[in-house]
Amino acid sequence: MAQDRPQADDLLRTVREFVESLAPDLPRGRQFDAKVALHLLGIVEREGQAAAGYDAAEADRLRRLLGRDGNLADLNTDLCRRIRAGDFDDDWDAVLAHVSETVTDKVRIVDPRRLADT
Amino acid sequence: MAAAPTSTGHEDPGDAPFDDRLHRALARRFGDAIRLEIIGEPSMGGSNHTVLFDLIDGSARRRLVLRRETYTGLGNPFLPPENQYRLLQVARNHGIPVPEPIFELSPEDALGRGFAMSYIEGETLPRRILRDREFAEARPKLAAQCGEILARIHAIDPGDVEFLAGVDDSRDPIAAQRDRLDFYREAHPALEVGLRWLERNRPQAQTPVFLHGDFRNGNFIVGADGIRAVLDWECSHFGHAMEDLGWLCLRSWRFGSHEDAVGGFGKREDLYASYNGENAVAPEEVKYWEIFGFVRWAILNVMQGYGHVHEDRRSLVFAACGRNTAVIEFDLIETLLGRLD
Repeated sequence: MAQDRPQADDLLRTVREFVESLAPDLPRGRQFDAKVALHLLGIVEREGQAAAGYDAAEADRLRRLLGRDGNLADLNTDLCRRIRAGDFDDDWDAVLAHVSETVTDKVRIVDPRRLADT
Repeated sequence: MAAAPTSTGHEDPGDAPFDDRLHRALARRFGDAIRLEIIGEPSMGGSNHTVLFDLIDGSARRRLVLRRETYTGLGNPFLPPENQYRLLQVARNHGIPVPEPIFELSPEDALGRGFAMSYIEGETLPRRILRDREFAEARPKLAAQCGEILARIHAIDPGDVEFLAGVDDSRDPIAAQRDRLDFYREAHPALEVGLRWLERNRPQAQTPVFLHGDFRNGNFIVGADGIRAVLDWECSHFGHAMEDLGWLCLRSWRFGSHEDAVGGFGKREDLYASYNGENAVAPEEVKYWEIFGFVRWAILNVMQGYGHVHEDRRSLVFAACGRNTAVIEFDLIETLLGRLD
């Protein structure tokens, strides 16, 4: 079923802008909460826009690294198990490069300013 | 954090109001003539309910802090309040600057688990400590003060705090983090990389010392004269002395002032030199424990996210903590890649 306008990303933005407009009038303790709420809304907005692409890229890298097929959750579980078992001790740079790309993409969604910061 | 309601939310609804129960708890210990004046509920972090109050006895007025445990759910990594209270007593007896422990709550108080301690005037908020003019003269002294205080903590005879031997982190700090991560059942390849690296690069064993366990900017009461008290002893355990130094230097506690590795306020050299003199610190060991610190801090954030989703400790802040894990993992991996100091 196709929903009517506005789309979900627009609804989120509308709520975010409302909380933004509300924040200055809140008592000090609640202003901090509003800041956190805006931070969370920002995460959802960015995740909606970019997560599918990041997930597909991550799954591709995992298939190459692990030499097998599977969905993202299974592949990650397998990767964790194999890192723990020492399977990547001799291929350390490859696993480090993979997790570096993955956490960088997570930070692009969670707190993109951090990438400019470092 | 916002002023929490004056309740942990885990009390018998038939209980008397909080103020009445606290008044009775005080009257039981200090006599029926005392009066109670609640001052407020300062934000002191997420895992405790903190109430600031005045105990008035005739013309004498004493400001105290009540600290109550609020963590519910399994896998609680924090020391129970009675052990935190004992640590305050031990630390105070050894001249470590801490709030004076005043009394412990008992079941008849119907206030849960916790204790009261003296109130010490000063600032705990890291960004204010790092930026406010009031602390401009204190800031250059803080790193050296940290080194002196840590040296004194680490010199305390483990026999005085024997109960810490039972803490998971005292037995094997890496296994303790791994067990905790497993408990939260979420795949974290970056943390697996960190844990594997820690296992393969373990430093030489040394005689374990008494560690504060959460010695960092944010857990100090700072005045114009410097550190007035060290708070939050709930992560205390036995371990490698450099674990405390690495934690203190963690990028996560620099609050944007990355050029000053020690809490955002000082240089590593000042910390190292004041900690038992020139040769007591091997900088590469501190770096090892910084990697450990990222892994540990990330898992504590995973814990808060888990509590939010699965254990009814729901809050905006804990939800944000769960997602903040990514930022700590990023710092961990960038540090392992040699791109961050």
